[in-house]
Amino acid sequence: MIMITLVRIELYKIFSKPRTYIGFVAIAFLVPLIQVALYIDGETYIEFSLQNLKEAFEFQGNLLNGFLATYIILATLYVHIPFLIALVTGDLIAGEAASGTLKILLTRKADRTMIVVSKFIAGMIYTATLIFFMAIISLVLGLAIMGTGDLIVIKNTIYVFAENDVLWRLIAAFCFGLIAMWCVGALAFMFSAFSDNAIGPIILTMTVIISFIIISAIDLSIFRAVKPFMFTNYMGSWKLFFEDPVDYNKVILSAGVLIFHILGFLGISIYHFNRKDILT
Amino acid sequence: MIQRALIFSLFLLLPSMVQAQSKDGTAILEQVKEKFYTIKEYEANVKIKVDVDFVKIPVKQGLIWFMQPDKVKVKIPGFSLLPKRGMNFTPNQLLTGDYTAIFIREEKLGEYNTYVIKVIPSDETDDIILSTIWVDQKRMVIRKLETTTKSEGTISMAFQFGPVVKKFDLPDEIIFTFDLRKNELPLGLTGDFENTEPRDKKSKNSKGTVTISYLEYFVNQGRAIAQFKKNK
Amino acid sequence: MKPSIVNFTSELERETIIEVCDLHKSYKGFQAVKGISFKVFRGDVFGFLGPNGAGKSTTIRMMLDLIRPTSGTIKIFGKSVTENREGTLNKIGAIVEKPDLYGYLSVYDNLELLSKMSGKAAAKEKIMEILELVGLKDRAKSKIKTFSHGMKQRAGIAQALIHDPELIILDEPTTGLDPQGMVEIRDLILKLSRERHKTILLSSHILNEVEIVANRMVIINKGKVAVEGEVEKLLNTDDMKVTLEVNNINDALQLINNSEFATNYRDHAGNRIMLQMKKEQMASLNRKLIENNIDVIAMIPMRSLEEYFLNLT
Repeated sequence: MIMITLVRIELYKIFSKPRTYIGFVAIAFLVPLIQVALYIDGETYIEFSLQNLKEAFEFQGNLLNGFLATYIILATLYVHIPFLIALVTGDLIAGEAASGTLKILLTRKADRTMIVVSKFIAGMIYTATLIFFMAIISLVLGLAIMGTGDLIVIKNTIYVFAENDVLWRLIAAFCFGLIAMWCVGALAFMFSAFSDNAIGPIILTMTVIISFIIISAIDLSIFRAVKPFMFTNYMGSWKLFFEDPVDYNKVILSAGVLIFHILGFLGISIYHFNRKDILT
Repeated sequence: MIQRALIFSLFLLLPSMVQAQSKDGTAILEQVKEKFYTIKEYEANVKIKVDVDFVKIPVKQGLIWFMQPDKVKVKIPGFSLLPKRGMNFTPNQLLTGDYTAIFIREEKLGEYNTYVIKVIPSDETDDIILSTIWVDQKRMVIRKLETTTKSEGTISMAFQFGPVVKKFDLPDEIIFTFDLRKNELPLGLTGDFENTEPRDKKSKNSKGTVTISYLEYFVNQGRAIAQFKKNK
Repeated sequence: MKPSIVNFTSELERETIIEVCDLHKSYKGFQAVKGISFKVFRGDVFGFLGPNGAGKSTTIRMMLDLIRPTSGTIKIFGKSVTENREGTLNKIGAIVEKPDLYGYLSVYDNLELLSKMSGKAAAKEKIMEILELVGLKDRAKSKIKTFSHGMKQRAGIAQALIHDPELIILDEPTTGLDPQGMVEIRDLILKLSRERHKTILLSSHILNEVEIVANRMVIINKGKVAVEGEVEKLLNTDDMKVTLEVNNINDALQLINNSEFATNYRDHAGNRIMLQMKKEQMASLNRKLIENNIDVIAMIPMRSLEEYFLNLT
């Protein structure tokens, strides 16, 4: 049984389920909504963000453009995309356990490791498809509505990137964001391997992510000590591409930590699933 | 709208043909003003560099057009930060109408000997309160200008010139210096949750500079006239 | 008519398809299976009986490597399923408890998908043939979630057959079916055995159901083997328990005690008399009672194994 056949079967199952399209519909609704809202009221947002600069500077040129809209949409990665990914990847094993179809899969000749890995790969492909869809709709629609221009990124330092210096950063950021979302998907997948119902993994994944983010945001010494060990700490490192110069060492470190977690979650899933009694 | 102060600054920058032997502030400035009017218009290739510790913006290149008496237009592709203070000034604001120019002293500014002249508009309703001008004694160009206004506080400009005196002794560089409050935006706006650097609460203010480098001038060649005609 | 094993004269000459040896399974101190051993030979329709909770499904899951045994061995086609997954599972088709398929896909799509998982995608004609065999040809493109329980059961059997396995394991395939459905499933089992020469292990908690189709069987209870052997021998009619209900118990008792049936008497209560007798004796007793004007309200025979099994359930 070759892996590619199994992956294609899993993808067929994923994209045959209505719940898979919730993510695409949500993005297709949210992204244009954010873009239109920015188009209407984005100037106010920029004015407020740059208010202290107005004392000394006069602004020339347009900051409200498709690139800014795309950047803002990227920043929402934390909020809704993890849920949309967990919705599908958390269902990959647990959903089949709940519906009883796991036993018909496992009474075929493919071994358990191959089944788990094929499901995992299919889940990652779904994640990539969702992020790619989000990137395309953000960029294409954003540029169509608001055009191009320089990109302003407001952190403790205000960065302005020249128009010809933005696109590669956005692409790199989406690619990094994809790794971060793969990590979320892998976490949900791991919980799915331990569960016999699909709701548990989804809720557990979101609980872990939200808890870690909250712990990261609270500036206490005890939390600061554990922060480097929380994978959520590295999920936002796509923002490193919007600094000048880009700290590639940090990018590589963050990507490495996330990939380590992805492989770890997968390893735990395979280990547990191979030993699990299928009772449903 | 854009920075009529450029007119003012350029007005003050032109070299005087008359050596400033006299320490009469008014006389010196009148010479500089007379020289200014020999420039009918120009187009300049410029580079704008913003240097603020919490702002990182690439160096921008563009064009500046000037036409007498006070028309200025700036064209920089994309987004640019232009100095607000000082750029709105016009020489007419300072040197048209009644004003009192008082020679204060001679002062060495770097390697240049300068005359320090204070200018006070007579009209109390004028936005300008006081201006201090450092005029190069040898070359009769403005090296430094500080103006205090009611609406925009104090403006400081420094003028760099090339070593060779040209027909129209226009500056190679103008450096605007100002104070501004440090950027402190809520996390919710920046989403910068991963930032582990503690916010520096002590230094709320910082100094910033904008340097406009004039790479090439096209003086009295009709380019600015064509540009302003196009806009009509 | 049951499948006959005319080509094999002894167990030694038969190919062993399933060999379960001293199988144990414990869950956190609870022993679900306590040392089960039995064999299934090629061509058997093997009845795997036991009351609910006896350990049938657990044993079947262990056969299919869904559950790992605590101890003991299971060999299918001479090999361990765990160690030779590809070689064994490809020859097995199974329904385990509920026949769960992908509800959001049609039965046709389910079969196509599962055939690919078995190594080779089944041709359209093959899928339709299987669907016709189980009586679902007209509903090939209907989603499983729209099916009735009986139709799902048939779809479950279809997925067990799609890759043309040599061994078919059916775990309570008639559960929830109406009598007509039960008959159809039983006919299908017989057809698979007779015409397609499949070896079938049929698990059930209904003795009558197994009796009709199986040639060999094992009864388990509380995780242990209680009875094993050929159905014909186990369910012989030589020794039957007969419950006789009459209108006049005293006259009936007197008649029986004074006749050749006296040794057959066992007990009586109310209007009922319990006797132990051969099947052939029943007609003569009935005749005798009627000749002596005693009305026979009911005469209920029960084979000893049936009684045993009834006590278990």
